[in-house]
Amino acid sequence: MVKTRSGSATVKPDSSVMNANPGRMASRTGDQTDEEDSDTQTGLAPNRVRRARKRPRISADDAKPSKKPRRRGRLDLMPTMNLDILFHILSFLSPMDLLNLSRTTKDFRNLLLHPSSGRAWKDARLQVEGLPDCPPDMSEPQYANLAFYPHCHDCDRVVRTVSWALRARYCPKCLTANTVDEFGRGSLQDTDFHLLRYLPWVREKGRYNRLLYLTKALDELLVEHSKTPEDEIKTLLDKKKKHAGDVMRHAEQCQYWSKSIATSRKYELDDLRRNRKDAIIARLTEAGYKPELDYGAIFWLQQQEKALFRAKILTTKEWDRIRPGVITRLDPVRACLLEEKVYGPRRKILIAEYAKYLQQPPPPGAAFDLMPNVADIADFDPFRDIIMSPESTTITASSFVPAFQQLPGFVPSWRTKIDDEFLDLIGFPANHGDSGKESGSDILQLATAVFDIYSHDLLMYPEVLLRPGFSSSSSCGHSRHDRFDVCRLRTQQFECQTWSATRNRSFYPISVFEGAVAVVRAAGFDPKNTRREDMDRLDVRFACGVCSSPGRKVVATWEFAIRHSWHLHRRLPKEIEWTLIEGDELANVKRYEEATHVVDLGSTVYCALCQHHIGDARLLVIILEHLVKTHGIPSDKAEEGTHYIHYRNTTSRRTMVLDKDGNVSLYMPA
Amino acid sequence: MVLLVTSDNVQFQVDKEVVERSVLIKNMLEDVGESDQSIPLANVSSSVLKKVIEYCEHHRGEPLPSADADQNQDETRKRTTDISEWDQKFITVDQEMLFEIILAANYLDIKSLLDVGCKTVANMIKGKTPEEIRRLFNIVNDFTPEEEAQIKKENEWAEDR
Repeated sequence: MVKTRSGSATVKPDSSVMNANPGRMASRTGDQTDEEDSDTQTGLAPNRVRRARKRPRISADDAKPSKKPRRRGRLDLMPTMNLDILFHILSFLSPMDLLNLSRTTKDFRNLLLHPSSGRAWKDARLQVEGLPDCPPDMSEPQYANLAFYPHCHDCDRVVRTVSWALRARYCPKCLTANTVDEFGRGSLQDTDFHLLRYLPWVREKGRYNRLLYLTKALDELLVEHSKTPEDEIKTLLDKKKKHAGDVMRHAEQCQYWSKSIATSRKYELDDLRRNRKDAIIARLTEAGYKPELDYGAIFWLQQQEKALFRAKILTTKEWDRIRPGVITRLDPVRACLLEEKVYGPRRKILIAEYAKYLQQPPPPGAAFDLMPNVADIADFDPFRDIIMSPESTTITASSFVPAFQQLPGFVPSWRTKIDDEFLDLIGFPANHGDSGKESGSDILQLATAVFDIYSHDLLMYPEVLLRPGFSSSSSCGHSRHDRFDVCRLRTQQFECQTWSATRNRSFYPISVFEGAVAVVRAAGFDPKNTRREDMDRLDVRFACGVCSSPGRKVVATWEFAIRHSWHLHRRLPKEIEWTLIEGDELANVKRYEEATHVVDLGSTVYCALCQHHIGDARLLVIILEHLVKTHGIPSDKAEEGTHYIHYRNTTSRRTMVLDKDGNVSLYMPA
Repeated sequence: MVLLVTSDNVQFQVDKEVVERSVLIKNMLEDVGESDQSIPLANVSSSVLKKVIEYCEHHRGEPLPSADADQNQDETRKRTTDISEWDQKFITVDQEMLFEIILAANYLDIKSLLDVGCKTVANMIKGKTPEEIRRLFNIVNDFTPEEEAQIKKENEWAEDR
């Protein structure tokens, strides 16, 4: 218990008074006289000269008025304080700390590099577990500098490896500059070559593994050797040999220590990293992120944020600072978790229900030539609202019934949207309608709406919208290695993406095939307003002006005329020319077509009983199987037109040859 | 109770058991014997003595380190700069007070308090570059750039140079 009584006067404490009257202190060396004591207690002066307390010099910069005056730290008095206290403080420092301190000011350097400070260095060295003793031919500061100052002794670059036997730390360049290899050098006489044996060496790392000797040590030995009388040379060399042996043995011990330090440091860092990771897991668990952690968030975070898992203790202060960033980083994980665990099962229900919906005839007045794929369906508001309803809501197949009832109302707007996107993607040349954009998607109904897919394929509308690039699962715009990518996850769930003409502009560019114009003109129609159904209704055949010759006409339907032009004449579009065939010639061709009409199992068809959606044209053999399984129609009862319809671009009608006698045969290009 | 009078003439009445953590005062009391006389501490101000007494109060009853044990420890020790939680909180003071406490602990010969103060200063220095230490000490670099480069290469004892 402390009781105080206030005095009459307040006197500010003055440490200098205390310095002058030190009281009883534990003596550092025990052999100082009282006089020495009182001297040393007022200053650092290792040479026992009382020195005035040195105030820091004020530089020109310091003299300028600063915006915020800095309070003078009283630690500046440290160099001038009682030596016993100072050395007591130093006794808690490491050799590297002493080195750093000795490089701060001349006072500290004079104090710490004086032999009387040897004890402080030794004490500091003894703190380092396993470090071999300081060799007798080195000072403690030299040894500390060698062992702990991680810089090249020549150029001050950072160097981790010590050449213990050379008592030096060199970068590769300076090592070469300061050493001579076992094959000597130009100036070394053959007679002196043997002197290398009396020097310590290190083995060069790398290709040649040569032995390297310190040039300076060799030069000194050469001088000493040349000055030594003949009869004393043996003694000299024996001495040198012993010294080299001592140095090599010490170097070996240091190397061993160095390796053990590196190994234990590695384990220490591993432990720190592991503990930090555990701490992060604990903090995240506490913050409610256990499900995300179980979902693989920590492994992912480790890959994404390496610095977060560095070898450092995670303090509460640091966690408070980094927490918002880490939480934000986990957003994609949380989103994916929700997508997979909550929305995923609901999407599976939708996929199954939509498949069933498509296998039924369309509702009255809602037959479309193309139905969206399931990813687009899931994007319609009524479906999205169901899928993304709160986690606690139970979603079953019946939950989607009201949404399916609204679906026919959504499909036209979806179709308009994708038509517009498609139009924006390709544009139309001037000879196709009113330059395309003004007439809107009507232009897509024209007979000339035929598209060249990167010179690899020719597609008509709307089949062109089925191109894989528009809705395939292969392109998401994100890294396929990014595990927590919502887009990738959704694509995996649907096995496709929503229809988009903009997602992959570079993927197989599409252009209008201008050769179609010649066919429409040959029919006597205006390409700018002739629709496909106009051409179908006309039901005529055309003869190719390029391939036909006197007595031999190459003829085709309007669609195959366009296809023929693209296959054979697209490189010379201006030469494309078609003429109408009439009368007997037309009748002969149509008879031939009917007689040879064959639907083989390799034809691509749609199921006529299902509603069309993107990408469901299949080989007839598959559709026949589908008719049996889904609609109960036996294969032998399946009829073209009733149960399946041809995919527009694979009609069995072929390009034909009509000779002068009216005979028709299949056209085989040369 | 022992009456202590500080340099600024403030009197403190402290339990003998508490105040005897100071070897200086303990020796004085042994020399003087039972007396009502106050002990003047001309080198310790009231603010510093208050802190010192707070420390001694907290560590009341703990065994005092013996001189022999200290000496043995000095030779073989692996010195640690760990400071207990309470001591750490206690010594979290401004630099001026920290040095006053160290000087007072040295004057009053309170080894454990001196250790706490010195370890605190050592911890402030540890791991710092020369420039960082200069900033900490508020001292000016009196080496020229050439000298600074040179001293990194010259590490032999001063008398050898």
